[in-house]
Amino acid sequence: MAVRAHAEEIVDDSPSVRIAWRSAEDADVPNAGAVRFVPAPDGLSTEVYVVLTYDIPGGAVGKAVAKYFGEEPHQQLDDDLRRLKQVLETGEVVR
Amino acid sequence: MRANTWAGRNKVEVRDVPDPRILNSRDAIVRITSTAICGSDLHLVDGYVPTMQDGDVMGHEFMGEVVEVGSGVSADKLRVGDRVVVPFPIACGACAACAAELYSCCENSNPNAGIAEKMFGHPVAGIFGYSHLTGGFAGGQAQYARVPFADVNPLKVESGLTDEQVLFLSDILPTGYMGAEMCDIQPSDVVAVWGAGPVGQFAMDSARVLGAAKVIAIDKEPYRLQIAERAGHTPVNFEEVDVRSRLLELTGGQGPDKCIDAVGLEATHGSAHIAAYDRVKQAVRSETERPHALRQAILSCRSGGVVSVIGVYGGLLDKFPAGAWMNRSLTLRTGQCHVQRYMKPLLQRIERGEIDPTRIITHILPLDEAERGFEIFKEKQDNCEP
Repeated sequence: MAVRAHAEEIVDDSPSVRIAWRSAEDADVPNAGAVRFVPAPDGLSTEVYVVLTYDIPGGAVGKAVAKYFGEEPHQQLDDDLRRLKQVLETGEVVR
Repeated sequence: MRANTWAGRNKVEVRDVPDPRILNSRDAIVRITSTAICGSDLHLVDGYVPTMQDGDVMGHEFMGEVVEVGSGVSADKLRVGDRVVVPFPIACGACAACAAELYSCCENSNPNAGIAEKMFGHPVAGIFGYSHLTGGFAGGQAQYARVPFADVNPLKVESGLTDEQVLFLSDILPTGYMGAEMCDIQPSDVVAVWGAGPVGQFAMDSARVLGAAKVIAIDKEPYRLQIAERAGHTPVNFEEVDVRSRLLELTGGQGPDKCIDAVGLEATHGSAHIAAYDRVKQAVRSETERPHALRQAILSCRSGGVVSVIGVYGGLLDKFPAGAWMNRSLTLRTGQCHVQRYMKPLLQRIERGEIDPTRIITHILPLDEAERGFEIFKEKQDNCEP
């Protein structure tokens, strides 16, 4: 994830099920989120779900600017999850 | 090294480019001994595939000798010195698509998966030399190429077959074969193939190998129809006859049982007003395809038949005959070829002499003459004959 660990407080850590966090009070982008790990219907795979709530400085304008520069959290999260899948399935991110 | 590069619409240029190097641990570097120009390279040069950039190294059909392997490639899979044919889709071998042998839909090999996802709904595999939509990987019309997931993709060729006999295992022979395989051919079947270029010719040969009773070749280039006829297929020249009427005559009024579109998005058409309609729509970018062959295949196919599409489409098309498709119980099957699925069995068919891939070769040129090669292919010059 693009969020930095040192600015987070882990609020839930249930092994193999869920990790949740909340940003520290002085974070640049205040955010909170959770990752859930769910068995897939095939009985072999794992589905990874991320819920992220954030408060971009600058409101709607700030979000549009961030999106333009490819730094909007939703986009970053999509890319990060894709890379996580690559690492888990193939061992590395193809370049 | 020298490489043939995309230099803007309607232009390729052989230039000096940096040598490829190992970027991932499962990469290999291949010194290329033979490569080919694919019909789909013409779509890139004609500007119908988005996200090409000046300087992109072209080519997705190549073979050669392994000169370097990454630390993650085990020696039992691939070694320096191995002679390999490289399949055009890059597959990781580990995702759900690869597990289902849908290699051209690999979920992990396209660094630009996000762009492909916006365009196609879901991402597709990386492909060598085939735009940034499919990863921006440098292609094989070059002296060397980097091959990712080299422990999964390349086919080792250990028998004494020539480059000309095995090169087309990289794309067009498996593509033609998959086009025929998707038809689920029965012994009494008449199979019609739109497009008698290299892929179409291989689709025809494959249909024959898979047991079709009669194979029909549809094109307008006399030399292509002659090549098909020499191989035992029935030619139909769409500039001389009405295709649908001729197909009815050849099939007792029923239409072909199975129809293969080996043309794709840049079809030409005997009917001037329909051709003009699609050309105008393409020019103003409100349609990316000229799907005449697909439309005609759907309208011509016998009720309950299969229309198998291996010609390349990239975006959106107009006037899709959904009524014919639905009301006459047609099955539409398609896909970029899952080359890795077919390489070994087709290599065996070549070794047994059942398929002769060399029969479609017309020109052999040095790399530095790639520009002339593209011109000959695009303009169908000299009957594409040396």
